[in-house]
Amino acid sequence: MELIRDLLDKQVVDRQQTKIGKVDGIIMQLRRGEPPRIVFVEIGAIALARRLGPRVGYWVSRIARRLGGEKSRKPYRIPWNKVRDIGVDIEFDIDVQNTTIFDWQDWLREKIICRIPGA
Amino acid sequence: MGFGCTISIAVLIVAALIFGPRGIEQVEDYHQLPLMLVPIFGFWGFVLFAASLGIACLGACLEIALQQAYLVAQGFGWNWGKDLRPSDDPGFTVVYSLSMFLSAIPIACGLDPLKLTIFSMALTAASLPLTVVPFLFLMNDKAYVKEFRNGKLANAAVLFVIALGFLLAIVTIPLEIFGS
Repeated sequence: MELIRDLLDKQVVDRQQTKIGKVDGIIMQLRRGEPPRIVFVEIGAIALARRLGPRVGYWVSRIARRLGGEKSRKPYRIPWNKVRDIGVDIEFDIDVQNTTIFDWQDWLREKIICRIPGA
Repeated sequence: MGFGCTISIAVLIVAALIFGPRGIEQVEDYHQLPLMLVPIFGFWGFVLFAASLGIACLGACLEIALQQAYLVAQGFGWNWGKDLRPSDDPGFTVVYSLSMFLSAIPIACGLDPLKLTIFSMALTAASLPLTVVPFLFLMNDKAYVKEFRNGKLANAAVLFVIALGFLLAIVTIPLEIFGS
């Protein structure tokens, strides 16, 4: 498997097949005398912004903290040992409702979408 | 597709029959367009034209707004789909609602709709290579499409369309900007 080609930016789904985002970052652990290994994948705008440069990452992180509080300051990390299937989609054994990934979508649903007649 | 093509061809024929004898060689304003139906249907031709323009614009607006939402939602990996309830894909819903409002801004600011249409058509042709070339790579990627890979003929056809679009764009965009 080639990490950049087959993992980075791929669609992530949870155990209910809900689309929860893309693999925006890969966290690896360097080990003395052994090959490095993947420990987490990161999901969210902050991880994506960091790839555009540290300054962009810093500002997006600040905005996220202002909007979503302290827990939104860092990108959401999914432990690599939760991975279930690696194909066109990457499936993790998690439930998105128990994570902070969809906090902003929940906010949109409650504050805006549900107030539009017919929604 | 057949229905749309038939309608388009019919519009072209009617336009040629009506505008030609009246010496109109270039339509410069939307006000000239109702003329197409007025000689046949009289006043109701005007009403019919206004209604069909309204329906066509509404359809195009909805389609393009949805297209933006698909693009953004798939790009960022959110839940998407026009068959889902809005509360099941809030991000997707917000993008298509917002893009409908945003798209109204240039016209509300007084931009000429006809010029904007022609200019954006030229831009679409120019951006064609950017959108199609990645697909060309994808369609030749064994890991993704396996036995459904493009053959030589299909690749040649795609390359030909890209080249044609690019050429047209190179010719039309300067004409649009410098007005001719």
